[in-house]
Amino acid sequence: MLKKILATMLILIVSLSLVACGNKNGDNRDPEIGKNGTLKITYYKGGTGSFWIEELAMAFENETKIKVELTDDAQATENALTLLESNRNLPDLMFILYTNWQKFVQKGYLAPMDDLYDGTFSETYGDATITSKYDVAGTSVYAADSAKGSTNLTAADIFEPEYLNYGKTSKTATSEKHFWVMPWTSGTTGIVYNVDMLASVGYTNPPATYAELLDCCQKLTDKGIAPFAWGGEEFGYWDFVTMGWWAQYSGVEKWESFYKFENVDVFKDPGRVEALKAWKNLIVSNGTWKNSINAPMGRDHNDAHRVFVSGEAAMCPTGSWIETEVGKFLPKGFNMAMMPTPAIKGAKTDENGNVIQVCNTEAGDVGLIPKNAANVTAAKAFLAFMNRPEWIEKFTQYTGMPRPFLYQPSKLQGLSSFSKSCMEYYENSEKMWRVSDSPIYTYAGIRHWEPLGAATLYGNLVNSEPSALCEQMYNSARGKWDIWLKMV
Amino acid sequence: MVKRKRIDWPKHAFIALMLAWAIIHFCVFWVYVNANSFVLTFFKFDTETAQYEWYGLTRFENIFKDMILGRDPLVVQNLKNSLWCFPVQNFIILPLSFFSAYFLFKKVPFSNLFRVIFFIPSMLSVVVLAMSFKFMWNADFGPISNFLKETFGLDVDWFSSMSPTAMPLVFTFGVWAGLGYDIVLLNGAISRLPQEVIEAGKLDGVGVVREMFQIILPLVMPTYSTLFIIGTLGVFSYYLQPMLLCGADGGVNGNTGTVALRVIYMTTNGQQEDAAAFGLFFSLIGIPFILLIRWGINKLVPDVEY
Repeated sequence: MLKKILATMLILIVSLSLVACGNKNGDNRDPEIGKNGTLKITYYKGGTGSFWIEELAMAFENETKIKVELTDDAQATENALTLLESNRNLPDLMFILYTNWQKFVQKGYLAPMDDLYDGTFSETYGDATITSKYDVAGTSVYAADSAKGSTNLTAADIFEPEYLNYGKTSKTATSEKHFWVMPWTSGTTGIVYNVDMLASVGYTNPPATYAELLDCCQKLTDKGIAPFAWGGEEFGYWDFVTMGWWAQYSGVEKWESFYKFENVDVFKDPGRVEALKAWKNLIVSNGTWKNSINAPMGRDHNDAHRVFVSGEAAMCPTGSWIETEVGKFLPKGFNMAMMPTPAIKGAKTDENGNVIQVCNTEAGDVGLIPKNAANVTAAKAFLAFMNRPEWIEKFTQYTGMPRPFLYQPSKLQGLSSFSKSCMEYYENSEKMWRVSDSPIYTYAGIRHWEPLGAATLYGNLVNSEPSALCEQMYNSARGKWDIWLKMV
Repeated sequence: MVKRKRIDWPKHAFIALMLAWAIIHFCVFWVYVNANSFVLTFFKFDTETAQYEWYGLTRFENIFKDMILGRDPLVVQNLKNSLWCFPVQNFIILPLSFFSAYFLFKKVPFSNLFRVIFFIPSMLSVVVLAMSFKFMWNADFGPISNFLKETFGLDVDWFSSMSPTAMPLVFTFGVWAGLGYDIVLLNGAISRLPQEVIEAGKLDGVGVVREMFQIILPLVMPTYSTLFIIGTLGVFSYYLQPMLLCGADGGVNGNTGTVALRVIYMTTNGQQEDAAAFGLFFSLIGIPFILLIRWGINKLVPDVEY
């Protein structure tokens, strides 16, 4: 009897495995697909999900008859260097998160992609031709002033001008610069809020100034609502807000110049102190936390998101990816939006005296092609296809995330109200981009809160003054400057 | 005339074949893989020429200054946390495992239930286990957290890297999750003991405590000492538990970080050469430490044959 049961179970397991291994597109798949080769793509599956790339791959397959094999990997970024170094089982194309990819270039692991930026890429697959020339007619994508009116635009013409050179660097100090990576996301980060909760304390529009933010927090606290959900295991999420304050105070240009590391004095930027003062005043009181959920330190960002969407807190420092990340756990009717980071005192103003609204994009996620990939041309064709104006728009519609191109994502159809608020904030702000090819940044890996790191910095603000910690970071940088220079 | 001893070729071939797999595995997956990392610790990548250049012992010098001379308090804290693994592993988990194995052997009431309780953590994924352990202490719905809050008024952020409770809880989790492995081995060793010795003890009127410490423990000492060495080996490779329970960045002031977690953090942040130097530095410290422990155990623990 036992043998019969075991045999039945075994048959069931094998049958189920075979069903699971079957092609989900089944018989509907065009039999021609694959006749022009196979393209292997490894991508980071996180806040952007998989839907966008599955749809994109299907459209690409139908047009080029190249079979696309997708592999999602939550550790794609961490594994990238090891994979490239091993030079085995390389994917043709990788979509990874922000990392110091410049190292990959210097070690000769990447294929250049200038032709994707300058419009010279062109490949024909049967009746279809994939080029890196674009016509923006009928879309919200538009060309930079220098290329206005043209119907034969390059990716460089429709790219965010300030961010265009992010993917450009040279292998050595004396060699020519080339494009090596293609940014596939931008971001919108800051404070996400529960619209109904803020409205319940009189804020039908979110706080525009820091003083209003403090007032809003007080009113929420008085009503028994925790103002902020955050997690101390991912203190870096507060950077989305404090970086905004730093750029508000110092100006976006000066904030961006920090990452050039021209000299150690970049660590003396007063905007750093002001931003941290604002954070401390908002979150710390008498050596403990205020305006926060219970026990925030022992939580990670996922737990903070859970608390926020379950209506236990009114605000959360995060990015536009929260909606996709929370996914099906988002309660029906939950009304959230992203607010422009409230302006601190001393924020830069325009010629009319209005505060310049800034948006911390945290951009840096890149698509790259291994030099020794089996199908470099198909990988380039995929990126060229992905940069088509209609697909730039679709990416935003599917993920709720912008791409660093000149377009009006807030006007797109089908966006959720949350995505719309993110896109409006993104579109109407001066954007903060980290573009640097300083070896101290790209190779030595020195970052803005060196040597403390986000956790130690924010944690120590409980008992220390921002000015003292900034002075400590400056003195440390001064002491290590020569070491950093020697490292590179 | 002295007769030359004939070499037993089939026997030697058999031994060589049996050892070959382990040796090839070691050469390919340890020597070959690590050789490049070892060499790279003495070089730096020059960004102007895109070539590796001799960097000497600078990385080791920096690690020494940071950790041993205390230039970087975060790294010092990581080292302290790692060193705590030694007593936890060898003076808490191992004795507890021995007691548990002994009582399971004695078939105390509900011993089968206890067997399942002890072994389940070893069978489940450590990620799942860490998650469930953390949920028990969750400030919103954790049953232990709620009980302590309601009974004793303890409103603590248990896994906060700024709270003194974080690392003790990580080690508590380590005890819970780590008992099963040691119990299996010790239970196996106890089960193989000659019954005559235990019977003889009983006839002489030996009690439970005396039987445990004066008969069973000396007889399973070879297994116990092996587990002691394995526990010591884990000191500089302890990272998964603090990472899963308190986050991957080592927390505020490195309070929930360990040496191995730091190596992982450096690797994932693109500082491979520094991470390799860090690993090598601790191998250099760890190997004599392990050898010393082994030498001490060999001196203290008599050979047992039965």
